[in-house]
Amino acid sequence: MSEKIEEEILELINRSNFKQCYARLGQLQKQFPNAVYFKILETYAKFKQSPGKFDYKKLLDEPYGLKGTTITGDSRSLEFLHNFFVELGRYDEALHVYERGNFKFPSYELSYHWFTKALEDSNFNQMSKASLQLAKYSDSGNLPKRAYYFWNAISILAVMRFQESTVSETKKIVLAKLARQSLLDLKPFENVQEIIVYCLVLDELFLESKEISEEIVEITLITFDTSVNLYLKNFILKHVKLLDSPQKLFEVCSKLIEKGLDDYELIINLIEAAHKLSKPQEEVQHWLDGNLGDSRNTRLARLKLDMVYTKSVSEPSLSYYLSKYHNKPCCSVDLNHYTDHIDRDMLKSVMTKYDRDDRDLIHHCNTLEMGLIENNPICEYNRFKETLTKKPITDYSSCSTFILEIIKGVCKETSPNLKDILLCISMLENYQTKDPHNFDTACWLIVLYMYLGLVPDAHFHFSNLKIKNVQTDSMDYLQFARFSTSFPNKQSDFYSKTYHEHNNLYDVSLANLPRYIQIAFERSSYSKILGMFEMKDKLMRSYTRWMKTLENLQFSRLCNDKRGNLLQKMHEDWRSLEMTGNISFSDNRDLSILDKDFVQFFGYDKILEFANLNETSILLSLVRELIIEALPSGEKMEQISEFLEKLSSENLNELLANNFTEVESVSFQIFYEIYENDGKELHTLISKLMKIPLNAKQNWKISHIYLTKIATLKTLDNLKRIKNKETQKLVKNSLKKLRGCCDTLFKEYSDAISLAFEELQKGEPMKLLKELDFKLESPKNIKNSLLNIQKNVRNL
Amino acid sequence: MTTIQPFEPVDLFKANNVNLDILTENFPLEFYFEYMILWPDLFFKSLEMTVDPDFKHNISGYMMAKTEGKTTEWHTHITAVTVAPRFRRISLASKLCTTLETMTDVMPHEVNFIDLFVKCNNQLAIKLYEKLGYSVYRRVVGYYNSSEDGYPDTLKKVDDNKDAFDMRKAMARDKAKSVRPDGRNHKCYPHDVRF
Repeated sequence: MSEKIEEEILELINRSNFKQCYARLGQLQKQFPNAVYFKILETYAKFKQSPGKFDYKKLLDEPYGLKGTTITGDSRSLEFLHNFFVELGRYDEALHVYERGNFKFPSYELSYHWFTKALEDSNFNQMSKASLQLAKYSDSGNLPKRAYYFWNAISILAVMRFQESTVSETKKIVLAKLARQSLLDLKPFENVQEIIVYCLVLDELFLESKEISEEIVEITLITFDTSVNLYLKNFILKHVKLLDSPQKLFEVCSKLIEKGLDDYELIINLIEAAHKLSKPQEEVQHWLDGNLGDSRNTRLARLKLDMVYTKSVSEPSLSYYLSKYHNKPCCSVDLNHYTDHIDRDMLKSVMTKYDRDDRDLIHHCNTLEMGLIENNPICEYNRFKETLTKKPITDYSSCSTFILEIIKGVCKETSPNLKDILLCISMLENYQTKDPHNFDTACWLIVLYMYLGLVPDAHFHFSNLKIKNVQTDSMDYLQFARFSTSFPNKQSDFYSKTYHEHNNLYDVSLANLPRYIQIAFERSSYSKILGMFEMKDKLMRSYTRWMKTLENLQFSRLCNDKRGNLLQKMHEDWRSLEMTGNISFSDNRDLSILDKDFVQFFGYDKILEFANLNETSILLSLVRELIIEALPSGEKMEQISEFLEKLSSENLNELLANNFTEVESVSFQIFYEIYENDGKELHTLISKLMKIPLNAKQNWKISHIYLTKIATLKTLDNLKRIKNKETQKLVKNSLKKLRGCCDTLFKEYSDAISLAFEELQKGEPMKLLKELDFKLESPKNIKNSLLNIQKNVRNL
Repeated sequence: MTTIQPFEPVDLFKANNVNLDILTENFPLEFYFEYMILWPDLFFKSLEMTVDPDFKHNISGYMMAKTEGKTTEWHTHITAVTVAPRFRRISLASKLCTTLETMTDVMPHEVNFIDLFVKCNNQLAIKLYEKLGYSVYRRVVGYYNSSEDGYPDTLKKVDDNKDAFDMRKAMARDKAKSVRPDGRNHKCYPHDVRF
């Protein structure tokens, strides 16, 4: 039975050539009367032929379900059954077939497949069961038997860490005891990785107790005689602290520091232990200096020593630290942590001592960041701008702090005006030429262009950041949050190259992760496996990933493209999320790159509104696409009802208003109205959509509103379900009207930009730019970029 | 206030303050995973205890390394060591290198030496490594050649912008076999540095 046969049958199913399909299957079943595989394929064909009429209970559940009568050990049949059940959203049954197969036809290979499938499905309970089965085969696999007990312990740890709600309290106790005992039976442990797993079991599966902590300290301390491992350092430190024995804590910390670990966590614990043991402050200080030499940590340790021994930081200690670090960028971060324990006047006077004329840029920035002097970013920039010409090109200048302070001051406002944003863009463009590698300023420049809807300009700077691979998940929000209504140009690098390249993270790397995790098990790299599961989970439910999927569907509707493959992929991705039992999304976006207090830039009419997404807005977008998918059939989908139930604790319209832009909200209402009420209010809602002003704001919303309207109307226009002639006419007329005003809309925006530039050339803003030695950006560049968008949009 | 911690996969979401640096390479996820799987101890980060952990950027730098080679050539190789701009000029890279040395000089690694490659024109980095006890062992001609440059066909043509110095620091057990005062005069091809 070759793979070719399966391909042949699936191809016939795909082409809906069921007559030929059944004939071929009949032939095969005659040829191989005992093969379950062809029976399953036939069942699948019946399902695909008419999913609505498919008798799940009789055809699938009764033979192969949880209490099924047919059990198979054939790996191809099991895999097909697994995927079939998954397609139907029956996740328990999907893996249960392996469990039952393993029970009736036990073999190493079958257990191995079971474990691998459970790993792919992130079903840690099943992984734990399968690993115990694997351990039954005395060294028959590639690995020694003991390895599978570690696989089992990690699976149990994963259940408790990520899927705790799936097990009862009694079972939790049993699993913990099982994991501990089976590892104890394997003692002595053969390497550090095995010790780490044992410590994880004790640390995470059992309640804190003296006995547990003593065991962990005992087992880990001895390893430091011959090796140094950072996981074990963390275990020993955590548990020696819980023992509440200063003597032991001092012993452990000193042993690890003597090993050469210059680690502040060890240092502060050593200081606290030494204090409790009444060791003199000077003795501890000398001991630290003797063992670690002169380092940032040992200089900061002086501050900690003062605080522990005398409750406040002394001048000699502060001087000792500042003499070396007053002009290092880390200084303010370090000292702000101790603000409450340092006398401000003393801090000010010691800082002054090290740069009396205040000539050092970094020193100056530190005094600013510690709030020791008043700030005037324009003057400060002018004072230090010469340093920009002298620095090596790869260095980052702290002058960006002054520029960004001005920019953020403007961007904090609600609805910042066009003129101010253009001024900020001019400042940043000028600054970027002097400090080209500075990514703080580059990110803000992207935000400003995106705020104005000038995607090609934003994309130029985005490309310069060379964001790629895993970085894309946390950084792509700058460009791809609402991309279908920003710049839907299939030929542009923005979409044809960057978007597709960046999606490799999900399409290729994420898909590869289970294989890598499996290798980690096989190579006994146990310490990283739980982290790998976490990574896989975060990527699976990533905001950026889901937003891109949903925006791409909208993009296809906008371009009248076929959406079949995209929808199929979306359903598959959704099922992988659903099978974990946790329906939620993960916000992996790195918003801190813009500001520590980034929240102030989000919200309605704020500078980052274009990227303002949350769990609800993503789920609502998903519901929108599911509704649109369901509309042609006129049938209600259980999944949609479930989501709406999950979401609608409040009024739906309120929910939409709180999580969508106005135009997105009305667009949703339109599709929902057709889905729920067969479009009774459709006429009113289309009029409501058309009444939303296109040019109320002079920013990204011009494209966004226009394109969301177009996407909505084009989708309606393609819906055969709308039979009402008047509504059909309204849709067509609205589309015509909308397209008719495209050029005027963008021309008006372009004129507004010209006017804003003219105003900038007069008065204060120009004076400011001159003062900073900056030039006003050319309106031509920006207007060309807008023209590029206009040309693209008007063809839709 | 730095603590040294294992680098976890999800740290990759939080390291943009380090990885947006133009000279820091962003590898495919699979490459990072390969290091985590094959050398789980040798991928670690420096974490700043004074930065609020809710604020994503408390990772100040990281080290990615591996062990390779046979018999006398058994050694640690530094693949990447990088530091966020905010935490530069405070010897953090040196600290990461020293921690690596502490870890691989003992069991289970017990290497003979640690090596790294640095562009011949990167004087700043060469000085830093020399300060840490590294010295030039040989010059790898065309190590940084682009696909347009092609593979070097001679060892006679040198280019500081395309060649790398293979710098080594010998551990005690190496008995200084990896140190040669005239290392800059020894040249080799890129394939000679594959283990």
